[in-house]
Amino acid sequence: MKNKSIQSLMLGLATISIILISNGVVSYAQTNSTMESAMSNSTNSTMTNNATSTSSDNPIVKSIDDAIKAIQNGDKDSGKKSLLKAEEALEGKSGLGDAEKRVEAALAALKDGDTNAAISHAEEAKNNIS
Amino acid sequence: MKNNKPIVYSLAAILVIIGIVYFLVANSEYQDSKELSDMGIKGEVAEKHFETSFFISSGLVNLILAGLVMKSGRSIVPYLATAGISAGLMAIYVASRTVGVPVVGVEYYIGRLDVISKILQAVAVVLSGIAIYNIRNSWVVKKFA
Repeated sequence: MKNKSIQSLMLGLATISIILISNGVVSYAQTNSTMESAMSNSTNSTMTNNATSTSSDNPIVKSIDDAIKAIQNGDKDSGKKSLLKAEEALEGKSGLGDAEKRVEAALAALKDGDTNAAISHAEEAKNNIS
Repeated sequence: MKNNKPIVYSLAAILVIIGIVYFLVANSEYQDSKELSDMGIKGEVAEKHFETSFFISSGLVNLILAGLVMKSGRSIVPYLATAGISAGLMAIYVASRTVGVPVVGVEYYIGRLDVISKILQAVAVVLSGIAIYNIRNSWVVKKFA
């Protein structure tokens, strides 16, 4: 009886372990999965208004805006490139450390496939700059 | 005397899974550092290298703890170490998302793997506590038997 419960417990934990490993591998490879495109498209309609309403001459803000637009259009690669560009520009700039951390958070969220979080962190980064 | 075997096996398995999660996070940080290095963002690369080392170390510590728990017998030391280290790692994580930690500062994103590892660490702390309680109880029973 006890052996059976141990076996089922171990089986459950092994399943979790396999799911975790496969999740890691899949999330690394699935930059252009259709599901994420669908997610981005769904956020597209709700977030377009906030994302693009502010225009700025600041090149960092422009990069972040480009990233937000790209993410909304389901183009994660371009979004990532624009965020990296913004991060590069933000590096070492005093007083903009918080914005840099927000851009990093947006990149991490994008990597995780969480486009909503990526956009919201990118928006926060913009707010910290302007 | 209570049988601690189910707790020993499940705790060891949880610690192995936590170790795997840390290795996955370390791999992700390493990939990021390569990307940032290609872009010439040097400050960030150093931070990512620190994080990669930290996560690899944490993963190894969890695997070692799993081995110690499996070989623990009637000793409470491996369980105390597991509870202490797991609670410490959880505290560092909370600090990194709130007040900030040295080198890294404050991180704003809470990822899926982060949530999974923190839940498992909380379970590891609880299981360690139960194991310590059972072992101490068996000591008391032996003493007065």
